[in-house]
Amino acid sequence: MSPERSAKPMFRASLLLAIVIGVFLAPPARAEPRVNTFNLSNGMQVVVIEDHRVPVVTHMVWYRAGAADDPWGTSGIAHFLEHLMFKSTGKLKSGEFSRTITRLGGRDNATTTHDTTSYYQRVAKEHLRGVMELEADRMVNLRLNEDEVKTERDVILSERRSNVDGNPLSLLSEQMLRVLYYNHPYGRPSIGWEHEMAKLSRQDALAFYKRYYAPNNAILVVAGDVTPEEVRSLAQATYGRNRPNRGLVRPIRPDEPKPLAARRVELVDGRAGARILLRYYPTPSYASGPPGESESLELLARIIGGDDTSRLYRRLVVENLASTAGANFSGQQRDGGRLAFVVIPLEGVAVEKVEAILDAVILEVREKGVTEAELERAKSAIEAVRVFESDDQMQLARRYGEGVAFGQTLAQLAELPQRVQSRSLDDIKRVAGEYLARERSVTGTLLLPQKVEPSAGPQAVKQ
Amino acid sequence: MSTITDRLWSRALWCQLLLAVAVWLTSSPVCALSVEEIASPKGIKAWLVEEHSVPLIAIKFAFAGGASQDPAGKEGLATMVGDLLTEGAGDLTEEAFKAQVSSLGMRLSLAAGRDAIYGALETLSKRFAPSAALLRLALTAPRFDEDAIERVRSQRLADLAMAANEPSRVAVDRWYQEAFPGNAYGRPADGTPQSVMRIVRDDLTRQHAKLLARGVLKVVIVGDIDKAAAAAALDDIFGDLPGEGQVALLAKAEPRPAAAPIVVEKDLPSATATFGLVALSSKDADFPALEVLNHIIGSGDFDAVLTEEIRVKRGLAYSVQTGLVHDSITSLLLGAFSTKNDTMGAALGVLKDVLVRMARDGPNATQFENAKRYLTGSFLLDFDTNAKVASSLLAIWVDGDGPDYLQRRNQKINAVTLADVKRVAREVLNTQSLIVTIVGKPQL
Repeated sequence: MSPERSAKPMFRASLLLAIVIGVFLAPPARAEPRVNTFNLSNGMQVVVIEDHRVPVVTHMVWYRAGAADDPWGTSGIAHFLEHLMFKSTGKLKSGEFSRTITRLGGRDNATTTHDTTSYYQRVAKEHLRGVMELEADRMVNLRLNEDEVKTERDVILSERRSNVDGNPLSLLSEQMLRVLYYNHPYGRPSIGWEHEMAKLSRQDALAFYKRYYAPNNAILVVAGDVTPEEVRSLAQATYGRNRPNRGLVRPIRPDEPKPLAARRVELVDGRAGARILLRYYPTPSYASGPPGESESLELLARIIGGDDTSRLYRRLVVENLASTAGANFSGQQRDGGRLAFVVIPLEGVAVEKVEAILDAVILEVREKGVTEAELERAKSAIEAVRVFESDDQMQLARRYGEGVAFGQTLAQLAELPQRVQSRSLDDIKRVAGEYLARERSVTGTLLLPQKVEPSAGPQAVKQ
Repeated sequence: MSTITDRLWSRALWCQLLLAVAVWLTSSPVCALSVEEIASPKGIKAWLVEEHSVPLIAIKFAFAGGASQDPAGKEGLATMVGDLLTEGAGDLTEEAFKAQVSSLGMRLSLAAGRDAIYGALETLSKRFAPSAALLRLALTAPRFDEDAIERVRSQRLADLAMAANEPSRVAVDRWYQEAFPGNAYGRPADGTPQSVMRIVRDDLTRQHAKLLARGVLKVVIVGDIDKAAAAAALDDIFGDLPGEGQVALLAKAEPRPAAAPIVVEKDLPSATATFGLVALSSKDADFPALEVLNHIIGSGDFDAVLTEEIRVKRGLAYSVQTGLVHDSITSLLLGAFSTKNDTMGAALGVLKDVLVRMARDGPNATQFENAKRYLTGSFLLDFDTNAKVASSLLAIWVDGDGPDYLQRRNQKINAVTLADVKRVAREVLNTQSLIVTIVGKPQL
């Protein structure tokens, strides 16, 4: 910070301006953030979201490549590469990336989904340039050695064991998704199948890296206390130096055929704490469907099972048949979404019984639609959720980064609230009729073995 | 028009202004967050942050007491009280109450922890008045209808059955049970199937009257609301609660060391461990040094010694982290990780080596400087949403600090010396007092 000599005049000027502008013209609260976008000459798209409450920025790079792009036989490679991106480049030693961010008082992490791989850092605004230099560097200069790759492979295998294999509900969902998708790679787990993960190599990782990591396959999102002008000049000086991949070819993602048969998956697992009923239906997503379709599905899911006023909650939980009953729409995927329903029956209540009620609730909505009061309540709730999200830089950055990665425009993303508000009772009834047809569904049940093994029960505590 | 740039400028300049003042007076650059202590006409105190840039208001509060006040044999009582506050209140049946909450799109949560009943309300500022009215009703006039009690009981029993199969939860519960035998802390906060079955309506209404009182209340309000409206809201929401309840806060206690790891045997592909030591209270002069030490050992960043040794060098675990926990009875350094059953012994060996080495040698100068830079630089990152600001401030208040903690905290960290950290490492990292609980079928 500057010494007194320069600090004082600046302070006085600021004080005057702050009083004039800040106090007497206090800006009104806004529900929607200010968002701008532009492209660098190498094809990298940049999105800037202004949030000047604290001098902090969230910096994200999104690659339009994820687990659905894993070459067959190497499931998990997109996610494995995400881990390996924290190893060395020509300039940085292994682990130095995160170390540097930490030293700047920042936080960083990365996420792999089926459609994207994204890296983010949150730092004080004065460190933005440094962060951009680091991220631009590892976009093109990654170096991997065999030993590091082998050790990190043990880490992803451990991650799978903790997050999937150790969790019966995750396992059931993984088995169901493989059956839900006939043709599309969304049916493969994003973390990978264990037997394929165990064989992933340095070459597999580098091939994926060379193919997909390039400015013309990436989106930069900066949210926080910055202006588009600042970000433009920083981005040109950092990412702007990376050469595009002229031969970039986006892989073909096969379309799904029309589903003709309802499917069932049953997992028996002694470690499960309760029996669980899960139901999936494939749907369009915000990015893949016509405008308004996902908004209708979002409202539908909320009305059937979004909160304690929903039909499933009233029919199952209030009637003392289940401890949990809910529905959820996942619309944040590129090629398609999914409606999910979950019921956890109370002890002594048959899974068949709660499934029959779930079916009855769904049938009722398909035949008779929903009520005006239900629709208004759901719209009001979604409006509030949107504002809650706008309070959170990370969520905003994710909304825009992911949306743009899926090919949506800023205007399309910003108009979502209006599209939600304009949905009609007919829209809701129509999507229920269209997407909740029995033959499109996969039903999964998590069951306990007939005789519970002594080692699986909590009574086996050793002193 | 020019409103866009105006808005931008005003914010940027406010920051500069506050920074300038801060640097001038205290040389501690915490900007843009000004916390005001307010009191309502009825004398209810709160911390207020006015933040008008997003049309939201967040209120977070705590009634000290919580599950620690459960009578023996009725464990889970405070948890059920918390659950039942939003299951119908005043003239509103459960269904009518929830329909209003849903229509307002408000987030309302009331839940018991070991040391307090915590509440949170987040709502659009244009819907604040009706949202606050529902919160008032939930706190002051819960119905405790018999059918709601039975439903909540069923849900709690189902949750307990699920929790019994979540390795990390079992490991933590077992840790507290081992560390604090005979103490309310050694008992499960959410109860057991047997204790939850014993709870009747009278227990619930009595405990509600004991726990929810203005005398044990702390409130933080953040968002699109001015001081006068905030003060009025305090009386509207909390003004009808009794001044004094009946909360007997627990006496301080020390964890009882366990010589060998305690194993809860379960047939799982990996083993999950919780480990912990008694640490320093947040009021201890050496606490900032402990924060630095904890960051160096177990932040979970790639920089952290445990992550380096267990994950990066050996691939034994996906994540290993430690944290400083302030319970009302004591302060702890607690950590957790999962690894394959057959590598648990090796991973525990590495953990102990790290602790012994750190106690003996302390961190090196680079680790020390890096940790201080992280802790001071990252402090603001927890203050970027109204809800997070409110939660962070409430935690500061509950820990016994004042709103000036925001200004003092980085100074305190900056004042820590390497010698301080080494001294604290010798004091705290005593592997003799380490308690480890493991869920799985570990090879040790």
